[in-house]
Amino acid sequence: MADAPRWRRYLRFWGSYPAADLDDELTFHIEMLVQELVDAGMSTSAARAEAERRFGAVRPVREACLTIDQRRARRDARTDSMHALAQDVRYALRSIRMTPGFSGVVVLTLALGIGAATAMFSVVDRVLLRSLPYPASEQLVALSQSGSDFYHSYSNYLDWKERSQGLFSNIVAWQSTNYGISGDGQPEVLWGDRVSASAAKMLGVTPLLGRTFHPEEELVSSERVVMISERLWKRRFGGDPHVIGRALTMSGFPFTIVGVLPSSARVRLPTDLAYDRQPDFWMPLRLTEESAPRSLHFLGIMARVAPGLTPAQMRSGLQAMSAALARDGVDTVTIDAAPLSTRVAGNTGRPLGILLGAVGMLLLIACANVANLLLARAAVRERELGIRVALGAGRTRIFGQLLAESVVRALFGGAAGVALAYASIWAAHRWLDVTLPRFHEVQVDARVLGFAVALSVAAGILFGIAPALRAMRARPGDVLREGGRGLHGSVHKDRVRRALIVAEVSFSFVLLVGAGLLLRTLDRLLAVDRGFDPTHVLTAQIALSGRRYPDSTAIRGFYQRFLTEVRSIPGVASAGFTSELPGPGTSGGIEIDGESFPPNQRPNVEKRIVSEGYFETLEARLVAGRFFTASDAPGMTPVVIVNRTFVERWLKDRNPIGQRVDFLWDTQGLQTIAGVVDDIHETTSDGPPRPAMYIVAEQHPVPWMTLVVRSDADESSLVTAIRARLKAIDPELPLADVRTLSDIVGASVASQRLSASILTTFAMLALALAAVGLYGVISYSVAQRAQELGIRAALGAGRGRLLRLVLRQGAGLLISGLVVGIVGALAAGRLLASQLFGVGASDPATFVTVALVLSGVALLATAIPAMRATHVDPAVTLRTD
Amino acid sequence: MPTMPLDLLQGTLDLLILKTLAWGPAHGYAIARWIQQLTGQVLTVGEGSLYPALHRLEERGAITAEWRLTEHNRRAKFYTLTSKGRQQLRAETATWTQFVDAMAKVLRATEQPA
Repeated sequence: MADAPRWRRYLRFWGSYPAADLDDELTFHIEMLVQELVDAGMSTSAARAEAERRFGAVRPVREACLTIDQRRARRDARTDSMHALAQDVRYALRSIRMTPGFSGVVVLTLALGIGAATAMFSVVDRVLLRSLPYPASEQLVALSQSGSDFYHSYSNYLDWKERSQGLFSNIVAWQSTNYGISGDGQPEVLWGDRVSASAAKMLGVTPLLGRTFHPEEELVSSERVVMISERLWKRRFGGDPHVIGRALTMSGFPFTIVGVLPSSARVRLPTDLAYDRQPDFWMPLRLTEESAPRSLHFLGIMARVAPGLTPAQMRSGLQAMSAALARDGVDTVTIDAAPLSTRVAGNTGRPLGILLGAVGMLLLIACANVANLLLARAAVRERELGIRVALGAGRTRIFGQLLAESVVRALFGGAAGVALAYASIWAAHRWLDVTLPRFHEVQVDARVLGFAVALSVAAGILFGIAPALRAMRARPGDVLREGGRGLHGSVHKDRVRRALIVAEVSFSFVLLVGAGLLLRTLDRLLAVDRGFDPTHVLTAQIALSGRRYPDSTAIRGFYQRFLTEVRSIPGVASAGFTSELPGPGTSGGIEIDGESFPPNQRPNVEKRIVSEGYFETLEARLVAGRFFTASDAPGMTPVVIVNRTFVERWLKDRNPIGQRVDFLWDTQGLQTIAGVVDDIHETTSDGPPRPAMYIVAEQHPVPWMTLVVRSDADESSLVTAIRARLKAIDPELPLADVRTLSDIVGASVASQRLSASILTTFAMLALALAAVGLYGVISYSVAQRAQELGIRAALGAGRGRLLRLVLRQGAGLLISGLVVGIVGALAAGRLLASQLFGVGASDPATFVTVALVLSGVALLATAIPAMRATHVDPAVTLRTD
Repeated sequence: MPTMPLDLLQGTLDLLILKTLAWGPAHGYAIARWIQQLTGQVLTVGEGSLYPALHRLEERGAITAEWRLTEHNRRAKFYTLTSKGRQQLRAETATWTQFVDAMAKVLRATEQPA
């Protein structure tokens, strides 16, 4: 075995080097053997040969030893690093304890950033990422059809149920509905769902008491049964354990209670409302094709995909089903399906993504601020670190220690942030009407906590890395030579701090522009011409019990009498009824006399049933013809009113008045168009107007209507008066969902309002953090330049000159930040564009306003330390050296 | 008299190494030599088993190693018994003595047990 090369021992310079040690050890052994043999009289070469023979094969020995040594080295390294980490953490805790004020600012800054990010993540996670709280929820799909999206008729349900064998293992329909109950106490309106019998099985609902529905209970001929919610059970029945089998009168009909629904999230159906209401009851569908004609689209339909079927197979199966329905002359629509989770999340992905991005920027600003604070403090600590380096502390060790210190600080910040997130989610649940799907499920749980911890560690490393790198470069000689004073900031350090400020200013700019654009959007949405005046209009729902108002005559009689009574209330200008308030609602197919349309292009319109006086109360604008009057009574010519979009789409080249159409909703024969009303927004505020048709309630009475009343009178006294008149006519009828039309219009932009207010909050926090950061950097620089400024003052520079000198420094940072910010905001605007309405993503007015606000705040943050600079006393500053 | 390889009995080599080091630090070569001399050349230690045994004992913390100069001014790796190794030596010596006594009793027995 040859001698190991000498240079190899230098490998040990960086720590133990097991292989080199081992080779040296074995070589020594062989050398000793050779020496012994030579001493006994052998020649050197013979001795070497003999020694190597005696030793035997070196390689297996070497490998056996090396395996053991390497195992030990690894274990030692692990123990060492654990010790070092524990020491670093102890050191960090001591350092934090010793600087409570500084640490407090750091923790608070980080708590804002991490807290906001954690709260936002908990929402995004629930709404977009988590699977729905149903068993095997990935198999659930929502069905849609061309023309009316997610609303289907009862006939659709029957067709699809019959023909989807092999595609779906279960298919259910549901409809949210309300029923009035009376009896003991105040009449009240209950909200619930009519569902297919197998819905409970599909959603994994196990009744708390009793049973779910039998399939035959879906039939109109069977007894009326209902499952009540746990809440209703406790409220109305005092939690009676023998409630099963008891009768409950709902809207005049006797129902038998067969089960109690658990109040777990699982019984919630993914309704088309953005927020889901906990249902008071479930009842079987009990529909017939006569009571729910094919043209009436009001049901949601969902299905569980048959096991083993891929999404592509399922969708092509649906296409085949659509084709078969068309071939058999049953229907002409194209049927499709999307994962239920996608349907529930709706179009919240983009706004939530934007908010998540915004909160990320806020967190980065917070990190930049903390990094700046640490850099400023590094100057103070340079002496301490320099001495430690001089005493032999390794540079990597110091780097690791400072980084550990940052991570520990970040974890404190993260803990405070989690508390903040918890508090804000709690507050949002309690006080805010958040219109996000599944928001009620949002909470701080293990997964969110894990996210917060990971985020804290990442943030700690992010803001700790620059100060730690700097400290690692500390030269003990310099520090000690300076006679113990802190080092003056090097050019390098200033450059990092300036870059951080520029980044903060630019991120703030982007966030402020985003917030500004969303606020303007909200403004434009509220200012949209909806075709009616929502102010001073009160609305309330009334549902008549089918038992006591069994036919059209009874229903018509009630509404006419009630309308007369309401109109006689002092201060009431006008009043009317509608089947649905302006906004998204029932739609369906119609026919136009003398026209025929190819399949898939058949007219589909918004359908509303309204009384005479409705349009006048809304102050809708008449385009042609007339509104409904009291003389549009049964027995007279059946009439409808259409909107402007209807005329533009189908009756463009004709006089619409007098044209005949069919509303296709329990109608006998055609109706005549009596008037054209200017578009009332029957869709979302930012959507294009849809064609709409209004049929007169007097000729087509339905038992559930919404009252609209225009009055300047005080809202609460008006409601009291209306309730009194209602009680005089029918003491058992509840007045439900009393709201003003302005509130309803406001609620229609609730999601935009939510995004705008969250983003505005983030932007304001960002602005504050950036201002604090700028203030810190300028103050620090003024303190550092005190001597220079003193000399300038001594040489005759006036206060104005010194002020300008410092302000110029702040202005430079501001302008760089604005330039980067404008570029960033233009880029971010492209992501935001789909969320805007009535304002461009690069709206100059918003950009200019934001630039002015940011400049104003930055000027203030610079001016305070700048004023201090002008007060330097040359005599004092020059003496300090 | 033929020499016997030492790794016949599991643990025997460890015990001999520990005993050898009880007199003071030594390098691998010296350990091998001493064992050979003390047993009157009956037991020889093959390098193939000596060094892995030393490294294993070091791993377990029974002995520690450091580089020193020998009396001939050469760099060698010296092994020293730790307090843990000393304990192990005591325990294993007791076990070994018991074992040898028991073996001897059986082998020297002249009568078949009743």
